[in-house]
Amino acid sequence: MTEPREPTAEMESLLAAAADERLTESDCTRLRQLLEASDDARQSYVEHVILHAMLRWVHASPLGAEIANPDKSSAEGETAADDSAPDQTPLIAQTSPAFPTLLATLPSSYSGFSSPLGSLLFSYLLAGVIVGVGILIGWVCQVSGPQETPVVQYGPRPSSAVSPVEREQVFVGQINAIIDCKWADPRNAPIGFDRIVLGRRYDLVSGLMEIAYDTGARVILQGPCTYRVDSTSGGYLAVGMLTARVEERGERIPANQRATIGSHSFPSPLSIRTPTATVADLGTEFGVEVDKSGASTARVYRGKVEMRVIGDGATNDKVVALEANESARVEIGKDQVARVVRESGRSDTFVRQMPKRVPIKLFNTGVNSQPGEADRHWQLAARSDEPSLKPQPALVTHLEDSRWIPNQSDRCQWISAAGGASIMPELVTYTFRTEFDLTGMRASTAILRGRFAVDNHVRSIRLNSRKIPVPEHGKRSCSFLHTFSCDRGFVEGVNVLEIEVENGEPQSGPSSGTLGLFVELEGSVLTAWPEPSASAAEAK
Amino acid sequence: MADNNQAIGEFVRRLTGCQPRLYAYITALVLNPHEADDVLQQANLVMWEKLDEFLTCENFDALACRVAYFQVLAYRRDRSRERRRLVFDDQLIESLAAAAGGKTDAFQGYLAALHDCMAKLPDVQRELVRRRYEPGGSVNSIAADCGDSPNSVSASLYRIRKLLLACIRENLAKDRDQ
Repeated sequence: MTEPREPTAEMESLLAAAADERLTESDCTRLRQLLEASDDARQSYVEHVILHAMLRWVHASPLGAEIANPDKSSAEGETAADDSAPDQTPLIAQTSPAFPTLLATLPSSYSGFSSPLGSLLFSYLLAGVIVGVGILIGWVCQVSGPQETPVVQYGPRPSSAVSPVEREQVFVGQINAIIDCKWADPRNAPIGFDRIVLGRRYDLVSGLMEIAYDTGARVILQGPCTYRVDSTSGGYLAVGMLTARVEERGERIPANQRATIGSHSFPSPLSIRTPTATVADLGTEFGVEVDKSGASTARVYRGKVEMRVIGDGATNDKVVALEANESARVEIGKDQVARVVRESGRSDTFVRQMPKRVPIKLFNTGVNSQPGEADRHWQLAARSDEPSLKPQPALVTHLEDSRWIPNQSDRCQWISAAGGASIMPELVTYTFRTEFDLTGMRASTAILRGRFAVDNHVRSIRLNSRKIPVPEHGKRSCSFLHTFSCDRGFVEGVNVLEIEVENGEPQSGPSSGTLGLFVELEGSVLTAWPEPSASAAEAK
Repeated sequence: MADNNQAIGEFVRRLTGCQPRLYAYITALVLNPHEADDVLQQANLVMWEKLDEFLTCENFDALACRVAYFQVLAYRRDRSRERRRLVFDDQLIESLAAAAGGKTDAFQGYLAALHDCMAKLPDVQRELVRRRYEPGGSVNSIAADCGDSPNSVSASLYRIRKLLLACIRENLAKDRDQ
């Protein structure tokens, strides 16, 4: 922490008042002036406020009690440490401060793959359901109550303490989701819960982003594309693809209450401008694509839209009404005049729904087999003492050794290079392999998690030849499960997961001993979405 | 596998771990501690809603601060709609966010340093801090109890905080040097 210059007496007095919640109106004004004028003042202010916050934090939280009363806690600490094994203390009880109540804020948006009964996850889900119901009630109240959609005004507001900067920032909606996005300017990348500011431009290189306008309209931007939010009910698509729809529950803002930027105003609840056309919603779902030349295509999925050549809609050939399953394109002719041309039979590459996360089909070792049988999903792919070994099914094994985690045939069992007691040469490395298929999935969004127990030691874990960090574990970790995870390195199609197991311990010298591997896997991935057509992709 | 909770457990661990930092960051922007509580609560909710993004992000704390920052802006927007007083304007908030981000970047050892420094305070000063910051505590109530003026109590507290700040800086500098 860099030490700011010593604050002035005036600043000290304001800092004291700020920390003790005793700032008057004129104090606030003066503090604001000082902070705006000097970086040192800001540093000093922030430093004091952070200390103030932390003092409040430690005195209001049970965890902080130790900090707030260091003498007392250090005396008690020895006893407490003796009584509790840290690894066995429930996570929440161990870490949750009294405020803010984290558990009270659990949403219901995350679902586990496995049976949650009796698990920590179940607690989360239960809390999530409660909060989810709360959110639902809140939402219902919001949409059924009096229309409170903010009216955007550019005229003078009643004078208040609202700053000039705030008057300029108009929020028109929020980002609902961002999936696998790359941005032209990563420093300015939005995140999935940003509010949308009127005038904001999004340069999406790849991936999907869904915008929810406060009017109820939703727009899915499909990278690569460039889109600017230029009204409370639409935007300007310079290049690329988007899909737009108006939710049935959408509150529609009367035309005379809508704000625009520049000279454009939009009479419909959702209106997308392009370099050559305006596509206006008439209660519908539609896609718009703009290619590098600026030519624009609209395709209607539901309802109707009106497609109009920008700048001149006076003649009939420059405006067209489209209904469901119809497409049209605004082209610039050789005479440099734009016309709307109806199209049919276009291939459909618009993303109409944000993709969902689905479980990856993975297999635990030995699942649904009997001891001595071949594992249908795991192979012994290599062993260090037999370079010419051809991959062969691993064998499900069962050992009467209380140190080994017990087999559960319908869930997970031990596998080895041999059945029975699975006695194998030591100081040898055995590579076990399983495969899983991500065809039709967005591989870059996949997440894999696993747990293993092993006799004797996992030397490395690789996904598609790329190493995954191996958790710390002992030389014979057959009684406990150790967790590993991976969120990169996946490919579309078949993926290969390999686990190298060392048998024996170096100090024991070459002999024979039991070899076994017990692995549970789970994972999820987003379903793939259509890639933009070549013309749009070239745009970037 | 019964262990999707492993990932959620990790998320919870990191979320709870960054709570003091987030609270400090938010308080630096909204000043009022009660408002900071509300904003933090809202930020936590948003983080839970975006669990997937947090599970895959590389810098959890930075993303959490970003969420907190936007929640502060949203909170301010709501207040301004209600025509309620805002202490700072957005430009200043942005500058303060940058300063607060810098200060809380090295937050790892802050609470430990505060612990050490609180231990070094004389009992009477530590008691004064406790009474000020315990739930429901205020300068006015302390002043009323001890027959002193609020200004005098506030000045005493400021001096103690200055001592603590100097001590914390020294501890953090030592940690860095090691």
